[in-house]
Amino acid sequence: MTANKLYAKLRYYNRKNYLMLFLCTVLSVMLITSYALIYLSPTVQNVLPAGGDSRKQAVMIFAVAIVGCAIFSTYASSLFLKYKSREIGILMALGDRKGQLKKMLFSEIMLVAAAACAAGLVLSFPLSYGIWRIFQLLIVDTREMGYQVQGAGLLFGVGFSAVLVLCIFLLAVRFINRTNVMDIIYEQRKSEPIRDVGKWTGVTGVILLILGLVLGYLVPVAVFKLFHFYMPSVWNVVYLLSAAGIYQMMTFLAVHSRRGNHPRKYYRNLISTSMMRFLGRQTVRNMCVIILLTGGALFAAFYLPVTIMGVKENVRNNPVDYLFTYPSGQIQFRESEIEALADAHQIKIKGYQELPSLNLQVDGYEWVYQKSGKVDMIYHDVAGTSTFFNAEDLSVLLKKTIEVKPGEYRMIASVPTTQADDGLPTLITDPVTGEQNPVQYVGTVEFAGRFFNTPEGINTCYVLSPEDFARYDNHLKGADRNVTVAFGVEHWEESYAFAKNLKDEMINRYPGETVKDLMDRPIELSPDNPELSRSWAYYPLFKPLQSQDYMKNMAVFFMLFAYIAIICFTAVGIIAYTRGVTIAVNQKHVFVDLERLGADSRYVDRCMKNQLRRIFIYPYLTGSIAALGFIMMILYTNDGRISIAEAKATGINLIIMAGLGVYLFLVYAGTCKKFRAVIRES
Amino acid sequence: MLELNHLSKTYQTGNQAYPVLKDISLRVEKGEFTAVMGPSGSGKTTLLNCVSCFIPFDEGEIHLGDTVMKNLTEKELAFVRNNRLGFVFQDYMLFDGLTVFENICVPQIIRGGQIPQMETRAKELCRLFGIHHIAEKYPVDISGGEKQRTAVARALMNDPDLILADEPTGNLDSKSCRTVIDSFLKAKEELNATILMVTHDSFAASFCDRVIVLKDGRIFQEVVKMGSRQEFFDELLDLLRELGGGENDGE
Repeated sequence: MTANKLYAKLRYYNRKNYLMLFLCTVLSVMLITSYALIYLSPTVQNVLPAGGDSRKQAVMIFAVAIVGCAIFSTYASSLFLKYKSREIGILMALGDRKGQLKKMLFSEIMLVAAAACAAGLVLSFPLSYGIWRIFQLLIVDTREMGYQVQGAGLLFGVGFSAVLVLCIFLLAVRFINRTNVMDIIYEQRKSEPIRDVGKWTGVTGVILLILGLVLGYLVPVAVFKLFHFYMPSVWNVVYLLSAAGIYQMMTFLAVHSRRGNHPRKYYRNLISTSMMRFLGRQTVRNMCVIILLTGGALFAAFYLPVTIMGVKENVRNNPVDYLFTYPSGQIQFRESEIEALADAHQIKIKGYQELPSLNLQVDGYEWVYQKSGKVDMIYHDVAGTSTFFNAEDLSVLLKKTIEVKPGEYRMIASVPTTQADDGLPTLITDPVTGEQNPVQYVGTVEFAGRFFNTPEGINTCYVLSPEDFARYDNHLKGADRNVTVAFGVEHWEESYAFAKNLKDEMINRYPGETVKDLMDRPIELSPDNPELSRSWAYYPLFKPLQSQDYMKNMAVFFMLFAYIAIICFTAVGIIAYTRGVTIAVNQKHVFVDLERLGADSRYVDRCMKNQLRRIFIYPYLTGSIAALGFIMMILYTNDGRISIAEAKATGINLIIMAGLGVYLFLVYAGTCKKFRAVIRES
Repeated sequence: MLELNHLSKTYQTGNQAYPVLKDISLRVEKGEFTAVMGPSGSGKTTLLNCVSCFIPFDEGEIHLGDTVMKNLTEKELAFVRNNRLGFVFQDYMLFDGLTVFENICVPQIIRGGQIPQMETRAKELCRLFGIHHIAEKYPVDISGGEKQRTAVARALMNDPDLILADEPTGNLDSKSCRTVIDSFLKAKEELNATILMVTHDSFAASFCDRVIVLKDGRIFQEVVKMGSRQEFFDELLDLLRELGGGENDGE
């Protein structure tokens, strides 16, 4: 038998290990490339506004997913090298040349990794297409949602593959460069013990975790509110406190045991705790990575229900089904024309109302951002323009009495608030006469809808008393006046065709070929331009269209987040599984000893499960609770309360958490099975 | 206490059969310290492995007290190993992550015994074998002799009917070897333990009451200590010389 034949025979014998490395690499490349193909496709890029928060968020979670994939691939390779170590060690001990073995190992790894990357790249196309089609079929199928890919996505995949192969190669170099044969042989049984830690470690861990999240998020918010100062980005290092806290907590949970007041529990878990301690460092590091991936993926996934429920709640609570605002004189729409269009669609219109509104100049503060992070607020008596409605008109629209006396005004908001804000106007200037009148803020008018197609907080509208409104209205013309048309229909959910028809008609009647978007950039004025629905302030606010557009945008988000979740959860599953199997391989002799000392299979099983549970349950719970707590903190600090919609979204998030729990339980069951097989194999 | 009747064991490799134990019959009485010696390949370790049920045997019977050690279920086997047998291995087989005290407790922990009694017993054993001062140390921090004494204490934790020791002094220097043998003697004298020890070491065997010498899977000779330990030791050396062995004299 030649050396090559010997190596070939060994390869055949260990074919399962080669297959595992191959499959993990294929999976990793396939997931990342298919995500890149989808994310970088023109369709998705059009939906995610450039420079917008949603694009930043998608990039951020993609980064988490890349880290996740890279981690699970390198874990798979380190497990492969662990298996390989005994074989190489024995061959070296028997006199095989290191150079020869190095050459063999590198060529094997290169071959497996290159073939896996190629397969992953090829398979990413059907995968991305398949997932895209599923979303099209299940959620929304419009012209905009067509499957398109560009070379950039594939290029990204190729780049990722190259980095991955390099990582695996570097691991192999580090492994083979060990000169000591015994180190290589005992790589398989290598231990990294951690001594027991004090009970304070767990407590300080929890404190540090919470402190990091609270300081990282709340302090910048509070500092800005109190001192108008933006914390420098270096402040984000306080999040490292959370990372340190997580490490301490996991160390405590993995290896701490004290006889204390519960000796029975202490002795029952003594053996499994000692085993955990023996492989402590690596296990704790794995647990921390699982927390990072679980927390990151869940944080991304939690964002969706919060947004969906918020929009749904607003649509549901909005008393006005159809509303559009236009600058006075720009288009002409008579009630009879709208009714005729509605009749053609067999829709019955009710409560038709036209509300005039005025664009008046108001005082306010200009925010001047200093390089130091300080924000100077400079007061101007004419700081900008705001839209004002007549309290009488609004009372009719909202079917409730709105009391505003002359010299007073109210703010229209979806959330009732009694507290006056620094930024609210105190002075109104007539844009024609220049006459300035002080005004007093007397509270909010609650309205779940909007008058302009702008995000909440931009283009805030106010209500004046009928007397004040009439005084300004007398001499304002054209650009300083708007008209809002509002009406309801029976069963708005079934009026999509009418809504679309009316929207197209309205856009067609609008003068000019382009309009300005929210950033003051020109955009094409065409009923087919989806960009209008996202960034034109006068885009009609019809419930059927809002639901549809929103579902379309959300479908893309849902797809991206679901993808990230798949990648992160796959990584979590593989890391936890790999760790479990490594423990089984390394501690096999301990289990054999236990059986010799009379432990029956139930006892051995309990020891095994006790260890695996720590790897699965603690990181899962920590990651999930931290992500949920963090998002709840953000929701609460947004408006000082948790709304019904947010509470409902939290319910959905708990279901997502439970779903992840079920998935991890299945991985846990698979790991238990493999664990048993490893410790039983002779 | 232990009775072997016509015990036979053959290893099968393909079509080739290798008989290792041939018609072995012996008895070990309660409180007796017995050694099994013999050259390499004589079947000593196989004999011990059959008694401890680590491997099955082909023919014959093994009685441990009133228990017939054949066709035991996994649960029964675990019970016998935990409660009626104690093991001492050449490479100690201590749990590296547990302290000396905790290692000694392991058989009781597996059994699920009462904690106060367990701790009291473990402390007693620590004192008896002179390892109380290292009770809180980990195996990595103690000497080979101390490790083996810990293993002896652990073997006695559940007050077993029989202690099986497989080359317990094989990895030790002469001084440590003596301390371990002293531990066995203490176990026998103060706890009335019954010990069956497989060894190459005639010095260690010379402390036993009786030595069974195996050759080619059969009992070659049985030697009972009649006079002093030194005389017994000399007698064993002569016997081993006759067999062509005599390694690891120890003294």
